Amino acid sequence: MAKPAVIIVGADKGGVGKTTVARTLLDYFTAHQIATRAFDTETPRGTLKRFHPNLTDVVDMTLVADQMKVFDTLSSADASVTLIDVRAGLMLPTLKALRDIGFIEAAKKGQITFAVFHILGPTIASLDEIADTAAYLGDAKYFMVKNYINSTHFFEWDEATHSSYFKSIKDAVEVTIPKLNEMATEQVELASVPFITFIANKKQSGEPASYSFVLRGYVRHWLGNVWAEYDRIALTELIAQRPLTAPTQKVQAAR
Amino acid sequence: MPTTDSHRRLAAVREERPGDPVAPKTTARRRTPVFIVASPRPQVGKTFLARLLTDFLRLDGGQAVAFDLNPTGDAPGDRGLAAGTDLTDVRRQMALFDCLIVEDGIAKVIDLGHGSFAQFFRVVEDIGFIDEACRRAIEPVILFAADPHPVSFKAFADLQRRFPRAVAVPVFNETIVKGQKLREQFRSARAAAVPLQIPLLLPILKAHADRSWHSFADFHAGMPEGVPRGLAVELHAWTRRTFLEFRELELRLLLEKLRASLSPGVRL
Repeated sequence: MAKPAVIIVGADKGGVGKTTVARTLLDYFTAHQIATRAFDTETPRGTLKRFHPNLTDVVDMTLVADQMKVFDTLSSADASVTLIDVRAGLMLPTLKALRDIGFIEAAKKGQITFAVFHILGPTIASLDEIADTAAYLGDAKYFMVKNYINSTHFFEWDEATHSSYFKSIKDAVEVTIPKLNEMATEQVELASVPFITFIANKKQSGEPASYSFVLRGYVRHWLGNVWAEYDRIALTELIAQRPLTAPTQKVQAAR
Repeated sequence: MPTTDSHRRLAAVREERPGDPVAPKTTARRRTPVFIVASPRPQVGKTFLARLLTDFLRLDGGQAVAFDLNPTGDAPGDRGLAAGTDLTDVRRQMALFDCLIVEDGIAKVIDLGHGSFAQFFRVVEDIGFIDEACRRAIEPVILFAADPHPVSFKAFADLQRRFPRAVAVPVFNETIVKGQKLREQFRSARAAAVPLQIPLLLPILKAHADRSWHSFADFHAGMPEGVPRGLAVELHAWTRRTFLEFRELELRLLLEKLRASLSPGVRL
């Protein structure tokens, strides 16, 4: 049996497309029939929950009770993958909390698969986040996500500067999320459904919808490119990894 | 074409359509042909070909809708996509393709101006139009207005490679090819893709046909009123020969569908 996997999707800056990336990941796991649950930290009303209401709970990661709700149930939950969409500004506090409860250590011992999708913004401040984040990663699989979906003028950094930050995290892997045209993005937003539900021309209720064939085609094409990136980084193999040692019942046991 | 496991999984995400489970063989349904009259080159007779084809499809009460994707809007378009159709605009793409994907049994003819050629087929590729059309009872046919230029040879081969499920038929208009043998440059392995031959139409006849308010269907039917007898006779004969080419294309397409629907081992 695969060890529990926790995927954190976050950034300290807002508006860089964290939830969009989280949504593509949930669609990817759904398509690969990998049982997944998600937590949306955008309290009280989470955006991720709007798109994936059946998979998502809204939690406040600053509350110990909600931390317990997420991390004490890793082994007992039906889902093998736990995805956490961390709202802007909470990335570092969340990683600190994970370190404090012994989660990072458990991941280091191979009891848990831990991956971080760090969504980068276009500014140098975003690069500074990488250095700050590095201190808390332990043996986590770290993905630096260049998300082009929100802007065509992204990542005009000096290549040498970028590389120096990139190299500061061992085994960091770059992931590129291509741009989806504005109208398709807007229509999926309005529909408030997962991308694959939009492609299948369905409403959240499962009833047939009447979305534009052209826009559905664009979403399919774009999602195919995003998933190609997840295939490239061997995401399904990463989360299918078996535990190195006998699994513990709860993360706390690793303390 | 799906290349990875994820692409295959994504390709399996489809709109559920009435009739999918009960009528998996699309040949059982009324087919909707979509003819794309195309070439990356100007002045090779695309608009003329689109007009001829539309008139042919409207014979005997048949229904056909034409779409004009020429920057000058001089084609026989009748669907509000006239002058200066810019396919870089997503709204215009929606206006066109959301209409083309409807399986209503009404033939569609697209007169694709050379300036829109690359963008049109890029959109077709990006939105997966051909695959979705084939899944529905829609039959995409590319009528490629051939001419003796290497750009055309390359573009034809490129379309065949990119859209293997669409039938790409070269059209040799004698006025354009001027007796040159171009079959080697426009080869196709598909039985339905036999080149169409449009016989030479004398300039005086073409000028008259262009000016006349009569359609080619009128000339095909007989001697329209108000047309000098000599011209009418010539145009009647020419139109019959040309429409016969279209009729044979229809039969070849039908035959290919029949072959595809037969069990392996059964031959026509």
